[in-house]
Amino acid sequence: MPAEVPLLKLDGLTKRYGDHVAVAPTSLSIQPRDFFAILGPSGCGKTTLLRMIGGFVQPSGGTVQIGGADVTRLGPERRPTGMVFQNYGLFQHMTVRQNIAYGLKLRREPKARMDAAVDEMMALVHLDHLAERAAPELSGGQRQRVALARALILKPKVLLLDEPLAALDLKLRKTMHRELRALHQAIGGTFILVSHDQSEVMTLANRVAVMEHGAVVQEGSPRDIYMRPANVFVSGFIGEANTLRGSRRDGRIELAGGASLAHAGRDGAVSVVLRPEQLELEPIEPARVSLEAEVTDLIFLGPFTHLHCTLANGDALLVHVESRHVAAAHRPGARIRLGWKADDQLVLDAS
Amino acid sequence: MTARKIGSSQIVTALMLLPAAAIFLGLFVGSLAFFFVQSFWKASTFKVTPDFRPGNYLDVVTNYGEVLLYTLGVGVLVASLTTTLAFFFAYAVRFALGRLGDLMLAIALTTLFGGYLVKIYAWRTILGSDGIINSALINLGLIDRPLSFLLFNLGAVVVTLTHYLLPLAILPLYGALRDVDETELAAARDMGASRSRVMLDIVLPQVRPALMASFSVCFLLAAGDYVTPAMVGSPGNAMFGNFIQSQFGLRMNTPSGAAMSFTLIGTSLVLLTLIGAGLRKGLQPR
Repeated sequence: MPAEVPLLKLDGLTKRYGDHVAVAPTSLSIQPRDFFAILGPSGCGKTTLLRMIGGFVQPSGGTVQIGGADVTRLGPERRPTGMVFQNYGLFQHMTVRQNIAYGLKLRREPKARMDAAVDEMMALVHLDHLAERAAPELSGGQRQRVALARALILKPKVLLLDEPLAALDLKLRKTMHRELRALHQAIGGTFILVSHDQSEVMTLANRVAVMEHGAVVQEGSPRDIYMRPANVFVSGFIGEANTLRGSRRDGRIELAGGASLAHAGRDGAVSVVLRPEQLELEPIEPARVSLEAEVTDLIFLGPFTHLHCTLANGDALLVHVESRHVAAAHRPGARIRLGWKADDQLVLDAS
Repeated sequence: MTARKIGSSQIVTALMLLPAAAIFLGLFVGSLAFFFVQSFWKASTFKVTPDFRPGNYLDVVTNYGEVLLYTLGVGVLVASLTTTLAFFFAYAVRFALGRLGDLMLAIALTTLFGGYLVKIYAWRTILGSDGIINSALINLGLIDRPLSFLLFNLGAVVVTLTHYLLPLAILPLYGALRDVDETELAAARDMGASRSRVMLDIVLPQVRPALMASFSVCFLLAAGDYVTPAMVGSPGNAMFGNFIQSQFGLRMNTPSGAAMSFTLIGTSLVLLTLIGAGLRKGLQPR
């Protein structure tokens, strides 16, 4: 992997608005055919970062290189990038066909070639039957497809997707997830997705950068980030996580919620991060760490049941267990014992 | 219950429309119809006799054809100039100036409070031989005698009318530009369009109705004006409105005045229709 020349290289890319740092110096390498996601809560600077890649925001420092060429000072019309905007920005006075053909018209593509390319693109995103429909008459999902087709027809080296599915309802979003995945595989392009939706990112991306307060705090595969979050913020943002506060002294961690476990390291405050599915009911094996909790709520979801519990110190704890392990005794108000394998826990020193 | 509700709301709607409809039908359509009929009557010395003859219209064409063309030309000139200036102003307010834009817009619209005649006299004061420009130039020692080409000519008419009409042209354009989505402009740029292409392909087609509204308002008010040319224009180059005024006033030849009025209305509408069609064709997505 590292031997490959990165298709897109950001080097110390920064954006400041006066004293406010929207994007702290950021360096990233994105390989050809990556589906790269930039994940973070709203206001973390992810959209600004994407807009700097697209050429819509002039960076305060650093460079953007695409295919080895420095494009930092080029406007969006001169970059080999295509952008799908959050609210699509379809040309309201044009039909679907005119929207999709617009970029090729600017390139003065011969009419026959252009029509063929537009037809092919409309078929790819399942819009062939709507070619002459005016943009304002389209539904959300159809707009999304037009925006995608309009950007892809120009064969951008990098396709930038700015929260492209945020405006769609859940069912449509899931359909579009599958379509986006299929599209990415079909055309073999390089996509960069900005999203605040971790499940979307897990579904689509092969690499993820998590941003907080204008800086990338962790970068890796979705699996890496889920299994080995760099800090409490990442663990809480990717998937669900229980963060138990405690302190370590002489190689033992005392959790405020009432458990004690051996763990070597520097003395001081620590957090123990546990995924809900790593917790189990009534541990019998002595190798498990365990603590006592009170069930406050129980949500049956078919194969799984979610137990909401409270620890002795009042901290909340979420547990996902297979429904077949849940007994009648596990009802709200019941006191239960929960355990986990020491291997599963992630201990983070408070910084 | 539902039926009664609809019934009463219809009555309320009708009641709300009634005063305006009465004024419009009675005063505007009514008097216009009367003058339309009269435009075919015959006028002899101090007497008007009912008739049906197209002679009045033929007289207009032979006697005032040139003035009519000149007037339509001034109308197109003023409307084009004003609409262009208004578009750039509204565009800057909408997309470039941010907070400052609101202030600029407020200032521009404040000038609507100034009366029409006040503006004309203001321009006489500015452009006149002892006006602001001439006194300033003389005091600076740049000229010895006042410049006479500033006032009482076509230039002064165009400047005065443009100043008067500008806020009226800005309003519809700013309203339309507010509805233009900035994302569309960014998307067009992303697809390779230059700034001027974005303007031509995306912005102008979407605000075309407003462009036409601004142009029409300016054109009709400029081409129909007779006060400005009389006050700041050259006496030898009167506009069509001045002649209509004299037909109704001095000469008391209402049939001829009516025929001239309807000729102006008719040619104006034809011209605007043609310009509208041209604009529609020119700004069609290709």
